[in-house]
Amino acid sequence: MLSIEVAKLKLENPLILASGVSDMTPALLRRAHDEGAGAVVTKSIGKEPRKGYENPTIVELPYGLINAMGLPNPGWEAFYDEFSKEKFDFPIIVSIFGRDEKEFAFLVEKLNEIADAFELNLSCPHAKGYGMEIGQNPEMVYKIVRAVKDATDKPIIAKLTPNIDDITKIGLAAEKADADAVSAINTLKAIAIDIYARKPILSNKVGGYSGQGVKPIALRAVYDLARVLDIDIIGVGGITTWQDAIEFLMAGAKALQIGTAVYLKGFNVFKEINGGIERFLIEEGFKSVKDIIGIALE
Amino acid sequence: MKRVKIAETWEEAGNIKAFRFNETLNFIPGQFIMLWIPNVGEKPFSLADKDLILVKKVGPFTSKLFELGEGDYVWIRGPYGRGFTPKGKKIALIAGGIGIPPLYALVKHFGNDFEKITLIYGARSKEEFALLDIENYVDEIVFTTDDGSFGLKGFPTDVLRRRKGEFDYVYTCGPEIMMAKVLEIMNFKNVQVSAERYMKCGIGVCGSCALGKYLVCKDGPVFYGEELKETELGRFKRSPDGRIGML
Repeated sequence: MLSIEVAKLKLENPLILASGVSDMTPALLRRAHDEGAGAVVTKSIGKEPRKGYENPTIVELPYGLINAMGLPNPGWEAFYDEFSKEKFDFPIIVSIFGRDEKEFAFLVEKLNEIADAFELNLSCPHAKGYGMEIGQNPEMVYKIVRAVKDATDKPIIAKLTPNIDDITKIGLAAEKADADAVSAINTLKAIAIDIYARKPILSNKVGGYSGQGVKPIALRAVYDLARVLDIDIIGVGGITTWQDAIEFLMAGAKALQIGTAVYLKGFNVFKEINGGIERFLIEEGFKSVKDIIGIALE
Repeated sequence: MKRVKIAETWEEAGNIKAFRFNETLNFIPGQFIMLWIPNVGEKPFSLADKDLILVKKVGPFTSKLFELGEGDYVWIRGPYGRGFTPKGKKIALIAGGIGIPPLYALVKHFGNDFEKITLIYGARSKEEFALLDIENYVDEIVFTTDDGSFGLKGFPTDVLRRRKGEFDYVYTCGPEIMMAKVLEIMNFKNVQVSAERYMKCGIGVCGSCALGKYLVCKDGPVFYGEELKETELGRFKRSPDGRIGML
């Protein structure tokens, strides 16, 4: 009832652990799957090891989080060494980031045997020269997706930034370059100031806002993308309850990523949301989750 | 994030300072806070009491913190994580170095749950023991130093190995090699361990404090011995970038 195919991957259910959320190690990825995730996305991997920004790297707000981790990652070589020894019985989507199409292509070549699919981080809002800074430019997005598609046969998912006037422009650029899917949205560029310290809290000053507060914006992005794209859409942004999940599916998302809600509810959130989706489908007389995808677009 | 005033500080041991805040926190012994000094950084500290932390000077952040005194402000968030659950009647606390704060909190706040409490505390030299007023909350203290210059010569784990029949439950915090030894001696049973890993967010998002399938910030920092069986505790830890490195 919940199984779905998205970006050519077969998932037991439509929920995916979002990139950057407790996904640094094979043991944590297995736990996410054991606790109900249909697939997982790894932390974004780059060419060199990066320790990320100094703390504070996170601010807790009433309706979400602002983070500026700074893309901490072990670099592709150490990641390869650790992950190439492991076997997983669920899809592993490897998130990668680079400065240009050459770096992206380099990374997919090196990590090809580990990944069941790649997610291109074209959207991190707080790393100079990476992520959003290149992902706001449709030509750059086209160039990177094209280069990556030429370098691998594995499915390619372009993760899009909402920090742009019209997200469909970059979605269309990714589709034109033959991306297998897009995921939308990454975090919204944001800031928090401590009034007694009289300065921004994050060491990087600006970060990315995620969680319940961004859900309506993410949902609108998915809705807009679904009206213009033929490729698959993975919805991400503030999904916290099963009702949120149903909304995204109805807006046209074929699968959903969960991030901040793992902090709010623990890994158990996957089972909770899957259970809610299933109950809803039964109560409303649907046979499969596939039957509700995009029905709000009609 | 909340601004608190430092109510008092004192030197508790060589290179170890105590900081008392003018606000009390609702906490469970074993829990930690994140402490921010603007322009300097933010680090986790185990609570020794509802308003107290013990800090060892180890780097730039703690050096800066050492410069602060009564009336100065720091910013804190938390308490976070899973604390101790009192179990056992005749218990041993196995402490090493600066591992004392959560164990102090445990016996100060849960002391009535136990019949006999033995503290076995190891350090390099006499100057390094940070005791606060723990003698009021324990029945016996055994000191060990590496060179025998104070108390018994050797490590707290040597004492535990000899006397483990006297205890039905063990709580430990200190150097990881020591805690791994405690687990081995106890065969992973009837032990709670306060573990440590490099921590960024402190609230279960970033994953930097991974320990096996657990997050030290959220699933821990206190773990039951059995939970740590399948983890890398005592073998390796990850650097801030996530690479596997030496302890």
